Amino acid sequence: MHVTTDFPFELFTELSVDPELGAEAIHRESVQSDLGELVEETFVGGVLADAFPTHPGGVRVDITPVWDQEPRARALEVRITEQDGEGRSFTRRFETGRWMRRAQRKTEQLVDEGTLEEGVRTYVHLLAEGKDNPPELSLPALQAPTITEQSLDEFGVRELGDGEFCPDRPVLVNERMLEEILSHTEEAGAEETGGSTLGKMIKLDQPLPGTSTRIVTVLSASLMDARHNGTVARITFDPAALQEAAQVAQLRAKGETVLTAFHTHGWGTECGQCNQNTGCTLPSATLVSLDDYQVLECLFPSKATLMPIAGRKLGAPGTRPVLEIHAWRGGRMVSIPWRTYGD
Amino acid sequence: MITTSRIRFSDLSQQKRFSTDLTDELTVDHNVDQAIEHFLEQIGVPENDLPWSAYSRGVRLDKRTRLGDLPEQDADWTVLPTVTAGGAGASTGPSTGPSTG
Repeated sequence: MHVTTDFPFELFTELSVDPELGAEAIHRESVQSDLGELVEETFVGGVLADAFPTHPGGVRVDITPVWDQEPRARALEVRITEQDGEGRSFTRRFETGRWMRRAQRKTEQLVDEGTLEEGVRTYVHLLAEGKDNPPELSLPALQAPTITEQSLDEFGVRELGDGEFCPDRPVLVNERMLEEILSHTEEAGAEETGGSTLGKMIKLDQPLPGTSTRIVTVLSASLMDARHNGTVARITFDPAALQEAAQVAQLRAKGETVLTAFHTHGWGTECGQCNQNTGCTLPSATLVSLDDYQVLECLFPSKATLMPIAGRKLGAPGTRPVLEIHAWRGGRMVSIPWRTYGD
Repeated sequence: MITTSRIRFSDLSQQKRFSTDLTDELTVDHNVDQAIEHFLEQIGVPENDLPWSAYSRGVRLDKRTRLGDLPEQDADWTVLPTVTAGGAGASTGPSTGPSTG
């Protein structure tokens, strides 16, 4: 696919303890290379929203700073336009990105070193500085996710269950898989657990009711494996176990792959009111940690990846864990609604 | 033995793919470790100092193996790291960390 772009800026971040632009920076770095993942997310988002063909001949990428106080940008807007065919376009706005996560790591490092006091508030200024000869944008090859044209019935979806759809990213979760994940979460308690999650992206003839895209992501089965090493607040995924899960997916012969991995953020076994206890120190399933982002960057680098996290959610009804499914939205993972299905 | 002349790489979910003949930037004289590095660079994935592995036909490839010594059947690789997830540090995640000023 031929990609043309023109971005007459160089992007930097400045880390400061002062919210005002122009204050002394405690750290400054070029973040031009972070633009690639914004373009990828916009392209994949457009394909999943059914706004693009999966293999356009060529696209034009326009990246525009949304100024807060020039040269400080409050966001970047990425617009991708199909150069041939119908000339369709898709736009996504990014108020955050990999630069923010790096700034958070840097803040932690400065606190550890003693350069910054613990608890001090820091600010990240995203600066788009106009350049006559800006550094060339290095964009990774834009690849559409693997999507199979099929009906839900052919895949084995017999009936839709509870929940609701995100209109431009409908997700279906197998009821039995959901129950297994919630049971494992309860059994593991404060220690984290997790496993491979098989699934498939399917293109239907028509969008499901309440949705605007024909592409549905089905999470169909989870595979636990004792080689994934869970402790309190951490789980390390074992590559050999993940690879074996990929072989199981092949044996099932339904066209699934290991689309992602689920993990838990711990579950209380003592107070019995995990979803109501405001003083609980276990992290919520609604939060995606910096470690979780590293899994997304390295193990499941596609911007189509969903991250299922089970655990507590303040205010959720009932006394059982909840499953939160996070999807890429504007440079970060955001929890989206989903529905169950029976097979 | 017929050796491989082309390698097809993918990530675990098979969403990120790359293939190359062993005649250009990657040759039969490179090893598995160097090939992994090349794949990550091509798809824009940071190495992040993680231990990376390549699997072919369900078996982990020895990182020191010369690509020219791989049999033809070992042309399809899955590349993945050993990586840790979890709630540690979740409180300093994007929702509560440094804000754009």
